Amino acid sequence: MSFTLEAFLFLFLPLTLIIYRFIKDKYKNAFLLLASVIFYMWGSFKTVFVLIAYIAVNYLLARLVDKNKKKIFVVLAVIFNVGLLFVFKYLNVPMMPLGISFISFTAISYVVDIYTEKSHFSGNPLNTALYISFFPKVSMGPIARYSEMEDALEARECKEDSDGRNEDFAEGIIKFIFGLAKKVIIAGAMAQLADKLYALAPKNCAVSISWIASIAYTLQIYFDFSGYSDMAIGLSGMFGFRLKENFNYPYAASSITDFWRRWHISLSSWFKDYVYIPLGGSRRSKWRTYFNLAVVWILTGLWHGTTLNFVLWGIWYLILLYIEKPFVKKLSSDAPKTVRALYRVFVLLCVNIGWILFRLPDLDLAMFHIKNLFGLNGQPVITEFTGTLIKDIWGIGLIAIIACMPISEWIRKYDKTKWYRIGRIALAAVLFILSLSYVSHSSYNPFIYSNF
Amino acid sequence: MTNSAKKNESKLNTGISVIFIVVLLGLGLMSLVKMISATGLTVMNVLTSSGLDAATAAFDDSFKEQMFLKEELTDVASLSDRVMGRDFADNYGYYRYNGMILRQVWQEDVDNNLTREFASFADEATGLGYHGRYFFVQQDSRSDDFTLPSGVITEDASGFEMEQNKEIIDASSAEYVRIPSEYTSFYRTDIHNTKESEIDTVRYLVSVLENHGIQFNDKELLDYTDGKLYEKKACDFLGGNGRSCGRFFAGSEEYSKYEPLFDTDITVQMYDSLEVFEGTATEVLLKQNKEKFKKYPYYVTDDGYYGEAAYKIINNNLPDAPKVAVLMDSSALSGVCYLSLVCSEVTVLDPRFSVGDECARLLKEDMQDYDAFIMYFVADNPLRYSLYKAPDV
Repeated sequence: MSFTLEAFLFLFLPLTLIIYRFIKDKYKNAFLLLASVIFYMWGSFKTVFVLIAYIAVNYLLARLVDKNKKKIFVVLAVIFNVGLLFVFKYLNVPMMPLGISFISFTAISYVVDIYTEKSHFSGNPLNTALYISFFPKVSMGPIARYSEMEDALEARECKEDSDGRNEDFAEGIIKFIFGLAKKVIIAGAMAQLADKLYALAPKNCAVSISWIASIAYTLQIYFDFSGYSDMAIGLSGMFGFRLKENFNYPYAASSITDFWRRWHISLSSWFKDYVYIPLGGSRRSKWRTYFNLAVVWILTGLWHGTTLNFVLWGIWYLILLYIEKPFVKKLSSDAPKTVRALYRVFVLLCVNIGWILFRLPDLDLAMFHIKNLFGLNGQPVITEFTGTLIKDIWGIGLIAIIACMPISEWIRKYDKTKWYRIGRIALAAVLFILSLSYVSHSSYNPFIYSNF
Repeated sequence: MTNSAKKNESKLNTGISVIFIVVLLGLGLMSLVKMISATGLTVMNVLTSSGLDAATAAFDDSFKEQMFLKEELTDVASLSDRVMGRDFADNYGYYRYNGMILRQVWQEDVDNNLTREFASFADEATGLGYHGRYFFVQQDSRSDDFTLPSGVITEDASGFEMEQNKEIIDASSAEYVRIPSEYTSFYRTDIHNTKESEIDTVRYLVSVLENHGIQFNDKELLDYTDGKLYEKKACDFLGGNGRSCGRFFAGSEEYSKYEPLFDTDITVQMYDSLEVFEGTATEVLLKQNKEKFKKYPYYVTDDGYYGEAAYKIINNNLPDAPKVAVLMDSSALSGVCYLSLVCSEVTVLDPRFSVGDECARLLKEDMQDYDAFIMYFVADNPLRYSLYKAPDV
């Protein structure tokens, strides 16, 4: 089930919230598990047994790890989780379980963290089951660590905090609404534009069309996925779980390295903690560091899909990071402001090119658009069609560009003022009405990351 | 924070929470009531672009698994734009035609190189090896509410049923003809708004077929004007206008029952009062029209709903008339209705109800039998940019 489906918004969510609010605390985890299973079955009925298998096997392995502290059980957990992921995702098994990439990574981190004692094994299978299947994050992340949810799973203040406020719940709602608006209003419009422009025959693509298409997709994927993440974090907040942010204004990054600290943070940090650092990170020789980076980025590409474009997308970032690595520290501290500003533009350009590879599995077409950005195909720079397009999209385009910049961080300076709070709630109310109107009147538009 | 400020904030947060849940729940209840009270069919498990147009949906990547010949049809359509002399740069994909929009390509029209090339390309692109006649019937986006000619009686379906056994005297236009009571089946157009351009194109299509030596049998329709029986040489095509439709009637012996050409396991659901009935499209259609089928054994369609990927309408009365294949969606229903009056056989393909390659296979197998292959496109859609995908000529 997707968060933007009417069945979720108008039926599943309000009923779950109401029942959750009124049942006794000791039953809340069990109820959330039930809701999560229903959520999962709604989207992927026939593969719910795979989810149950994930929970059961990882619980048993975690128990063995906790008891014996033997590495072999960790290895078994990795083999099991990666094995299932490989079978379902890469062997083209007809029915791919919902969110399998996210579930596999969540489960691996669970067992590894218990082995490394970053998390405590509670022994309660309900906690493991809810951690793996928790419906706000089961289908598309964030890949939360057990330590993030551990305290809340054990005991959380579900109704009111010590000050008697429902702050988490209300904040969760506002976060959810902002996420919903990002997805249905901005990402939806950008998706329509990018889809149409990338469907054009190359010979009808002026240079400006390739630019508009790539920028539209760059905005689409950000608002799509960060919108989803905000919804997931907001939902978790409503149930008393505080998940970490998954995006931190990635298009304001000062370098490629910085971009990956801000984009899909839970995945980047997962690869860092469970692949890069165990391989030795950057503590060994220079060549070993490059090798470790190569492993991480090829795996990152493959995690998104098996087609060549995803692998190339991973390699693209690998090359950029190789190039950037020797001077990235100097750049952020010593370089003059102009150089830093120009480098930010360069980073955005590289990210933009990366998204073309990500979006277009047809490599010839991807190469055409990349070359076209720089006028290397002999296409006209601008046509009358460009003018018509810009006239149609400038409004939503401008809103999208502004909204992906850290302006709200600046506004947050006024966080303590009454007007800031009122303004934020009013904005959320307007966006809520607009978003619901979009949900009711638009055709179903799945999240990009639901494919992974 | 003072205690009173804390209290106020707590109230505010509670208010936000309550409003949020109440709004969502309210909308949920509204949806539920709407669903329960719906008595029509709701197509489930089938991705469609809201039933607007199958052929146009073929251009949307969302439906690529369902839409056979997607790329090929896109190429053919865009090439047809060139054949017809459209200037891409000037039109930006916005279809603003007045009146008729018909694209026809004849292999015989050898004096037009582009046209000839198109015919050969269309064969190659579709892989049909047809070398025949391709028609592109394109609806435009204007005049949803065109006025039916005076004298046309435009009751809705239930109104028609109530009046079935009454003799209606007023039928001053040729488009509406009341049949005598011994005729036991009726043939109506659909409930969709038919655009003027579509009416023109379908009329023109028939006349072009006739001009190229394919003679349509004169269809005798009975016109009860002034209480007297008149014969009309050929029926005309009017199309539908929302739920008010011009209708055609014909004797039951003239039509074989419609024959689904292959089974599909796609199921649809029908909400009937509080019960949900789920079955194949045919099963649902039969259930929905149980009473009507008892009355009219050769009933062809109702309320514009055809839940089959492919079927044939055979006009037994016109064995020598042309055979045509139509790639269509519900927007083309009225056109198909009309064609079935003037053709011996209309093969209808609605790829929205096909998830495999059955439609493509069927078309390829039987293509040589058709005198014309007609594709419907609805221009009034958000997919217009896709039609820019033009191959080199």
